[in-house]
Amino acid sequence: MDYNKYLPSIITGFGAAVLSTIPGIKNLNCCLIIPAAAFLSLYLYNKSTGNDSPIKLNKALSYGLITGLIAALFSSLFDILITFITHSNDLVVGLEQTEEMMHELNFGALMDASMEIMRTMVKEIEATGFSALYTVMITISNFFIFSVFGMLGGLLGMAVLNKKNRPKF
Amino acid sequence: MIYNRIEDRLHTDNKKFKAIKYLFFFLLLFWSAGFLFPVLSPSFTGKPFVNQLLNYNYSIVCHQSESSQINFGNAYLLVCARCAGIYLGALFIIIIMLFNFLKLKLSLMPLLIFSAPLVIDAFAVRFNIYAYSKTIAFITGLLCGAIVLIYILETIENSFNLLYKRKYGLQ
Repeated sequence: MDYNKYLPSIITGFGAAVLSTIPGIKNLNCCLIIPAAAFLSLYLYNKSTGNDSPIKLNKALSYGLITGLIAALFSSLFDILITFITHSNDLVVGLEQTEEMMHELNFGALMDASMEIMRTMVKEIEATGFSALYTVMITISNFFIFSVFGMLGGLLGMAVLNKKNRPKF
Repeated sequence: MIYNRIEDRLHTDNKKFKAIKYLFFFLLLFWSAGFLFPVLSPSFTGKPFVNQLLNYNYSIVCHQSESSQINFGNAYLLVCARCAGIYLGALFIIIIMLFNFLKLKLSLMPLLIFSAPLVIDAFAVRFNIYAYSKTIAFITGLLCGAIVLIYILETIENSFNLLYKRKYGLQ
């Protein structure tokens, strides 16, 4: 298997993960970072092969998917690493407010159980900087959402590049 | 007879494309319902666990700054105005395309024209040229979301047609 052909996806996926971690950049164009990375990976692939023939649907989807998966992998790793170093994250910051609301609204036993799980995660993060459950939760969410957005970016890249490379008569 | 076979096949390919359109429609509908949840179902808004789960889900794709989220009274959408515009623009277009009201063969120019306002607005706000406006962000997002989905669906349709033509030696 020629892994070099997936190099553009790996590079752009890693770049997207880095960008989506930086707050200032993330605020700029939040949900467009991953599709833009997938688009760029297709563009780089086309440039590296020097092939002007139309991109096929399966290629666009696979490049988008790989970009999304790589971005999800690194994004999760960065999140875990930052949480490990700082012993804090959005979940830790938001839990106090959530608990206050919970006490005011007085929900049943099921909600208490759910909150107990969250409290355990927060305790683990504050104590050691790592929670296995939190890691699984963010990894699954990232992999699912980034791969969908990556494939959409791949499709958009295919639309643009195929129109750009269309033979002119 | 060959003509009939081609006609049957075309009918099947149209069905496939229609299925793809429905898939996009339901995915967008669920996605949009998710971030509209606090507005659509105010009784759930205060429930921390549901709110926290949905909030976390959308935080992956949106910065969710409260100053940029559209609100209806106390209920805030779970994504910023720009993202809400993008998703609702895409949802609006897929509804129109489901009923075949829109059939376009576009060049690249409309994509640039409709996407440029979003990019210009994002950079203008970032570099403090003017203050963030939810209305502008929502409208520019709406335009971008709509045009992007048109291109994506057109690409899928073209791919189906190309596959069909190759299979039956029409090209």
